[in-house]
Amino acid sequence: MAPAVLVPIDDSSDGEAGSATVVDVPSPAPAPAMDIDGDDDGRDRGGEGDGAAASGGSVDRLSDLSNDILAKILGHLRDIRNVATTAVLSRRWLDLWTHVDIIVLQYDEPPDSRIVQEGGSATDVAAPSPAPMDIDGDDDGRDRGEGDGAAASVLAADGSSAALSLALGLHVHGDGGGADRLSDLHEDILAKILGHLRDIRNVATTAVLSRRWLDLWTLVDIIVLQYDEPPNSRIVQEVLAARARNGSTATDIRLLEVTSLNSATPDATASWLRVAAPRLTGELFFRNRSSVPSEILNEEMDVVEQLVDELGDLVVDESGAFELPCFMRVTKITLHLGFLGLSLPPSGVFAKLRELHLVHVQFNGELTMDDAMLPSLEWLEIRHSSGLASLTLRLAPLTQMTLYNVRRLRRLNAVLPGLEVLSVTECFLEDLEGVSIVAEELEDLRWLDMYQPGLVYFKRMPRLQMLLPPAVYPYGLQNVFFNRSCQMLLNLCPSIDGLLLIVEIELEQGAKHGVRPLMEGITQLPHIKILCLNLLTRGHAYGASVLHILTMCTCIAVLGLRIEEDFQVENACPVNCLCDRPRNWRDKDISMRSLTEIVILNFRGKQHELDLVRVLVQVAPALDLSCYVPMYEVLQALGLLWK
Amino acid sequence: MASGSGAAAAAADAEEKESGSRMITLTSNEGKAFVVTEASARQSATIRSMVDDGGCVDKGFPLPNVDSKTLARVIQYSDEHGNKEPHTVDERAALAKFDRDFIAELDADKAFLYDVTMAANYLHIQGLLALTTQCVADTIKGKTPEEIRTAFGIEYDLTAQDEKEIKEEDTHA
Repeated sequence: MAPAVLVPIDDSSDGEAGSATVVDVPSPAPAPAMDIDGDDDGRDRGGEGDGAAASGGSVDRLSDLSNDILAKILGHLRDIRNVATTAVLSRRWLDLWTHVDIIVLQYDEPPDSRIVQEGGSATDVAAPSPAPMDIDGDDDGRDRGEGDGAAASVLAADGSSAALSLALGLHVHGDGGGADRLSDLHEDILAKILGHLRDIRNVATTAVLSRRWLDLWTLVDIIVLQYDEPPNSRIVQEVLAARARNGSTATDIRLLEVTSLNSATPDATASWLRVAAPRLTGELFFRNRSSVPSEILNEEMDVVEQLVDELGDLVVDESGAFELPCFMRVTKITLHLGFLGLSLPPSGVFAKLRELHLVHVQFNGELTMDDAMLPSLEWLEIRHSSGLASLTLRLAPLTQMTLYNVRRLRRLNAVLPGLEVLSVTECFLEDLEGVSIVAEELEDLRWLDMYQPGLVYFKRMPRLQMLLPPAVYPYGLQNVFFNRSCQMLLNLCPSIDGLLLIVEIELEQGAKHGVRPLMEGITQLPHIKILCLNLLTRGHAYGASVLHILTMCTCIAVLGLRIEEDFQVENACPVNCLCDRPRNWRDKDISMRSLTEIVILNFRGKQHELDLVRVLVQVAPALDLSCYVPMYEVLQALGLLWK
Repeated sequence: MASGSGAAAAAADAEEKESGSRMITLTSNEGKAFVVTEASARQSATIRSMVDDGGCVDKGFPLPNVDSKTLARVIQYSDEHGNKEPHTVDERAALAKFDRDFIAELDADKAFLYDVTMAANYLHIQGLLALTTQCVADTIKGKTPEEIRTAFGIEYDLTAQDEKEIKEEDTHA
């Protein structure tokens, strides 16, 4: 117990404790300087205390004081870290600090007051008898006053080491007794957490945290990794090997995402792919240099894209080709190869593969994909690739296919009985030799490519609902060819519901051939219910073109107009521009009794646009004028709302 | 795509709406009962499969691994995500803000964050589990091992042998 009468003594000896550090311990090993809390006036007393220490001479009278008193003295050090430091003064002091009944603790991180709470609970564990705590630097006055009357509690000796490390800030956190609760979480959860770190280097770093974490990273089923030495993909193999060494067979890789920051070589790529093939169950994603987005490369993507576009065919010869190993359990493969050559294995089954995306690939002439190799493939996409002259497909489960800018493709022979969506863009513009597509379940056909009935054959498509044919051109002589091509594809699909039509307004100013009929070559549209026009206007008026198309499909219920934004050609339209012809388009006399809804995107409110809306409102009595907010505003501007 | 599958989806929707109006009782390991909408409870794949399989909805579901405090917080999340489906941009933004505030509050109390994580794992609430594990990962990100140890109170207990092995592996890679 600490008698209140001894308070005056503790005032003077408070400073002496500090001096004693120097005087009494000949080899003060680490003996950290005792830094008494700045806003504590105890420091002033320390100044006074120097005198007291001098009067004590070399004899350590301080240590002769009773435990209670010394404990009280130590209590005035306030910060428990300073208090605990006195343990190293001498044997006499070893356990003294555990008698202190005041614990003052400071913490640095304002949002995390839990350190304090845990510190408290840790000490509670160590000290069976409750010790009053003043855990705040703010109200120093109070703890002094209280401390006088407080009962000293004796800490269990064996509790002192835990408490010591607590006080010295070694391992202050944890819940109760400094336990680290994060590490207690189940391995699955920890692996999930590590998965969010994505980059495998960061994930692997956690191995050195503690024994518990040593092999945890090998349980992570997501491997994301970048490497920048093209001929040497060894890091990828190292990671896979380390994983195989440490991890159990139960942990398959769910995602392997590899980015090569410099152009990868075919051999290096093939070698790590071979290592990965048996271990991967989910998704494989590989991205080679020239396919890497700019935010990763810190370069102008335009430049890279341009290089790919210009040099695509050249790069090929230098980079060579590799054979894709058979990934038997993978469900999705995405390869951005930067024009590395690729071939499929001669045999083997990609049994689980549902999605295959190939971008920037250099093919070698012919490619055949069939059910024997790809029995589960549902989605096939090939983009921005070259070298593919002939593509043969026999894929029963395939429902979705995209061919986009597969340059100089000559032949396509596809039997795809389950196909629902087909999109082909700019593949056959140069070398079309023959296309045959048997896809009787097709519902959605997007064919922005060459269509010539003699060369392109579609087997009957009874379920077709939506069609996007090649663009139509309202003006110009040579574009009549494209219009006719579009018309022929339209004729092939008489029973579709929806038509998405790209209208390119391209004018040959000063052309000698005079004014030709609007949209020559387009004569008839299917009996559609929904019409969406994507208008590439280049700043021109489009009212005449839109109304001309509408005369061919007066039964539609929904009309969508999307004006492609092109701000650079704001005023490209000269006076008396052809785009306003025929001049009487504003007096168009058609009747669209079924039209109930119009959606306009990128409406700019120019006079010719307002004129078009005025006409539409007049010819379509069933139009719901209040259903669409932007439309509402347009109509309000026209004063047409409550006519 | 196919009109047939569209009709099936609509039917499934209607069924879901109907079942969403039922109430389900979840009981914490302290015996405290929480009554929630089925839509909220279905955020948990564990409960969802129990409801769909046996349909012992009336008896309620005892959750011996979850205490009341944790369960209350988990339900707060499930209610927000299960009872309203965000349609507009604003609604989605509001839900994202809810998630941010929710996790910020948990992040301030790590022990509780772990409790909620374990409950989300046990109940298979994928959204919540992704949210909490992402939060811990964010704390790990960009830190040295020493900083990570400090942040989570992980005690350094690697033996000299362990260190040697790690160093050897490092020089390999």
